[in-house]
Formats: sequence, structure tokens, C-alpha cells
Amino acid sequence: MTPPVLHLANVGKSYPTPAGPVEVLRAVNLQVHAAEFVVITGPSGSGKTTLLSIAGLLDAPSTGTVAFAGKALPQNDERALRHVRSHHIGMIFQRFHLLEHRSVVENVMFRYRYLPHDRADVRRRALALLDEFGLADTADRPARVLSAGERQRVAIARAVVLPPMLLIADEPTGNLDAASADRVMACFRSLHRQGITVMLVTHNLSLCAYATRHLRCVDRGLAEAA
Amino acid sequence: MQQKERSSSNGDIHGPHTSDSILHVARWKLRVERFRVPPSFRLLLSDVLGGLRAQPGRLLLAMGTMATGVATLTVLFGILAGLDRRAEQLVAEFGADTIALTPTAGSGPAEQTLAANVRDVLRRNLNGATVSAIRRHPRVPIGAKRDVDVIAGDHNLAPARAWPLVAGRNFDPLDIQHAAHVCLLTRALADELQVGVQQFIGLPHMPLRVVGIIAPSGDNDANMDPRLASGARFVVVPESLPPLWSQSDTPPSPGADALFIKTGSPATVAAMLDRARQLLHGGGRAAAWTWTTPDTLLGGIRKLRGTISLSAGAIAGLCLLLGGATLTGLMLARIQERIPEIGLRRSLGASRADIAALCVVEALLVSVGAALLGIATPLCALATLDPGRLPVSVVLNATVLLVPVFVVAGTALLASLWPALVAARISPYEALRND
Repeated sequence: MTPPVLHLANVGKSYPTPAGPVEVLRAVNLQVHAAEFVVITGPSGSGKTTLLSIAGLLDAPSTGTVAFAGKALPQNDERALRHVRSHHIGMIFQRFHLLEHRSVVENVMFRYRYLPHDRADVRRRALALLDEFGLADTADRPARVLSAGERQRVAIARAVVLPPMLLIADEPTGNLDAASADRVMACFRSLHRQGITVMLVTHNLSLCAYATRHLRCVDRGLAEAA
Repeated sequence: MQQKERSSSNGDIHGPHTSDSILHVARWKLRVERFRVPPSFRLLLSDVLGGLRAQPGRLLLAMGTMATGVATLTVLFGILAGLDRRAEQLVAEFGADTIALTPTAGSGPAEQTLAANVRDVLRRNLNGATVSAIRRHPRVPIGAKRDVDVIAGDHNLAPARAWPLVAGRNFDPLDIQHAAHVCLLTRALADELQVGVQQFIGLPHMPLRVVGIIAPSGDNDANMDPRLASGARFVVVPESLPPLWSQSDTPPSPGADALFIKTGSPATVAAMLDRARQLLHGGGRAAAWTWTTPDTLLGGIRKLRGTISLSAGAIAGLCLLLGGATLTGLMLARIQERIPEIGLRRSLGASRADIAALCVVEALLVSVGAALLGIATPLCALATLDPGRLPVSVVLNATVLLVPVFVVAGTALLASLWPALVAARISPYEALRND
């Protein structure tokens, strides 16, 4: 049996504050299998983004374990975490995090910045992806001149130019108008159809329409939505 | 021949050196390959340059501050190097193994000229030393040419002053003994008068046969007692020759204007000086004479050098402090602005070391840019200015130009360490939440 792409077992997270530790997540168990489109919803402050950061190996859980593709990842093994992060996880953020002074295609190619690569090949793939996302005309423009919707599509292209095992998105439509949000979600749907596993966090319940599985962040834990 | 040229122009290589040439080219290609910038460093450089392009104002401010420091340091080091060169010239002209003895200004008339027997006392008692005396006569015209100095000396003068002979011979004891009408000319004067050995020059009322041409090193120096400076254009005559050329009514004073002791080695100067002092001070005339050695000659220069070194040190310290503080501030501000970018880089696989390297290389690049600007400014200024108009000599050699570069690069390295640590410690999770 194929192991889940991501397996969180009894994951808890608390932050130290002057008034004592604040618990954000408690004993969260989650398995995300290949080709799933998981949407996690919940109100602000319910721990969605923290959960996503732990899933994306950007933050370490206070308790519990994280396994990726069946392999447990010790949180002190920075090298292994970095390897999985750079090779197998694509991340998309609410605020896009593009390099404003670089061109669109350079932003997409930046996915390979810390990986050995053939520049010409990566550029060809980046341009093909931009074409697929309707951004071919903007390839050589600086990222700062793009609209919010275009920026988010560039961010998606950057995340998937190296096909990831898991694509994680944190409120990808949070800063977009309805039309742009639809175009961005169309990109996600297209990627999911190509077999990419997607894990998306949002407070926008309408995005659940794209999901194969809907989870809710409640009471510092996760629950399957009805 | 034509065929060979044609075949060469076609790109064919012929001849006995073919294999050598191919090997030579191959070796060079190998060297170039070996020194090619690694791709990872190229990417790092591209990241840094991209980042700097995004913030040109801050970049120029930091570079300007550091470049001013580098330019100041370069000029100060240039002045120090100029002083060193001047000191070397002075010693070369005076003689590294020479002691000079001159009457102290303001001493009694009897002391204004050295008694003839002083030279004999020194000659007899300073074993291994060459002792000679000179007397300067007023300048006289030679033909239609301008006035020249006339120096009277004995057969030991040229060896004692280490004036190399270019042509002819030195005075011999008989020239001195018989007051022969002979002379030595400096090369500059011989060239100017267009005379050679065995030809005659005419001082007023006295023709002199040129027996030798000497080449004293250096020029007259303002820092040196004019009685000790050799100059470049003068005539040396036997000391026994009556100065019939002199138009002065005052009879020449007896004795000498200066005595020179050539010890044979710079290492023996101190010992020989002590011995000579003992010999002469025994006569109770300690205050009447001034002793000049290479050390005393350089005293003024050393004092000036010390002052400038202190200034340079203080300015270098200030540069380190201000430049470092500016750079640290700049780097910290840039890190604050680039927190999301740092988070993104970490999410894409950058290690803490990669992030730290970004800061350090950025600081080094800014500092090297500032250093180049800083050394280019005085170089351009010196190229456009007339060196003769400068109050001090400024020498900008490789050492002078490299020292400030290393000082600034070292400052940049130290100044970037803390920001680099701050950047490396940023949690990617926190960084990506921040905006």
C-alpha cells in the first residue's frame, strides 16, 4: 500500500508568551494521500496557517511527528527537511512573495535557485508554464507591474515548475477579487487533474467546491467537515 | 615565405613548434577552465546584485561613506610612501655609511671653518674610514652658461661621498700636492657644457682640464644642509688650488666647510661616530660642531611620518568604526525589508549558511565597490594635478592602493557578521507571515 504523502501524528504546537505557553494545535492527526485535493477551513486564529507551516516543514511541531512519503522527518535534521522542502513541496502564499525587481520568468525559475539545474531547460519549462497559465506576454516584465491575480498565478507557476509531491497553498485567493480568484482556482483544479496533491487552507467556504476532502480547524484540532 | 604566411592565415599551424603551441593553448584553456567562477557563486552574485539594484539609494549612501574613508586612507598612505621614498633618496644622496661634520651655526669665527688638522686627526685614528673635506666657493660663471658651484676637495672626496666615476679618473695625491689645474665635473654639467675628459673648461682667469666625470646621486634637497647636499651641477677642484677665479675681495677662509667620514658600512656608523666624537671633543670643542648621520638626517622625516602615521591610524580607526556602523545599519535595514524574501529562500531550500553568505557577500561587494571608487578618486586627482604644486610628495603604488582595500574589506566582513547571523536565524515560518 502506498504511504500517504503527508502524515501528521499527534502533532501539537504551542508558543511561549510572557503569560505562559499558548497552545494553537493539540494532537492533530492527518494523512494526505496522493492526488487528493484537501481544503482546510476555519475561522481566523484557529491554527490553519500554523498547521500548514508544519505540513510544509517551515515550522517544527512542539509534539508529535511528521512523515513525508512514508519517511519520518526528525525536526532537528535540517538537511533532510531542506531536501524535502526544496524537492517535493511547492508552497503558495497569500501575499505571493514574488521578487519584485525580477522578471516574471525569473521569479518562476527561482524555484530552482537552490537546486542543481540546467538554466536553459528550466527557462523553457517556466515559459511553457506561464503560457499554460495565460501569462506568456508578461514573461519578461518585472513582477511589480502585474495585477494581484497575475502575481498569484506566477506564484503558482513557481511552485509547480518543479512538479511537487505536495502543493500547499495558504489563502491563495485571500487578496484577490472574484474573477481573479476563479482564474487562480482554475489553475489549482488543472494541477490537481494532472495528479498533483493539493492542500489548501482558506476561510472562504466556496473554495470547498474544488476539494475532494474538506477538513475544518476546530478547537485546536482537525475534523472532517460534513 | 608567402606560402607559410598564407597557410598561417588559413588557420593551419606548421613548423617545428606546432605541438608546443597546441600544448601551450591547451594549458591555458585548462587554466581558464580551472578559474571559472562556480555556478553557485555566480547565482549568489546575481542574487546580491539583484538585491542591490532594488535599493540603489541606500547602496550609494553606504558606498559613498566608505569610499570617502578609502580615499582619505589612500592619500595618507600615499604621503607616507612619498616620505619613505624621499628618505631613501636623502640617504642615498648623503650616503648610508657617511658621517658629516659641519661647524655649528653661531659658533665662533674660529669654529666656522674646520681646522685642517681635524681631518688629519680623524684620518690617523679612524681605521678603515675614508675621510675628506670640502670647501664651497662662491658660484662662478662658465662661459655663457649659468653660474655653477665650485667645490674644493682632496683626492678622497669622491670616494668619501661615494660619487661614482662615469669617465676618466679621480684626483690623485699629486694633483693635490702640486695644485694641478684639473677638475672633476658632474655628468649633468659635462652634458650641458658638452665637454669630455681631457678637454678644458674655463673658470674666470683659470682654465681647468677635466680629468673625470662623476655622477652624484639625487638632487639638492631642501631638507638637507646645503653644505652637505651634492647637487647635480658643480665643478670639483683640488683644495690646494688658489681661487683665482673668485671675484670676491674677501680671501677664502682656511680649513673646510664640512668633513665627510665614509665608514665603509652602515653598521659601523654608530661606533665610528662615537670614536670620532671622543677624538674631537677631547679638544674641548664639543658644541662647536654639528654631526650629521643618516639617522639625524631622517629625524625630521621620521617625526613627520610619525605624525602622519598617527593621523592615518586615527582616520583608519574612524573609518572602521563609521564605515562598519553604516554598513551594519544598512545590512540590518535591508534584512528587515527582505524578511519575506529570506523566508521564501528558506522555503525553497536555502540553508542558514546560504542566507548568511548573501549578507556577507553583499557587504563585501559594497565595500569593494567603495574601495575601487575610493582609490580611483585620488588616482584621477593625481593624474590631473601637477605633482610639483603639491606641498608633499604622494606615491600611489600597489601596496598603498591595496592596504585601504583590505582594511575596508575587513571592516565589511566584521560589520556583516552580526546582520548575517540575524538573517540566518530568521524562522521561515515567521518570515513568510511577515509582510
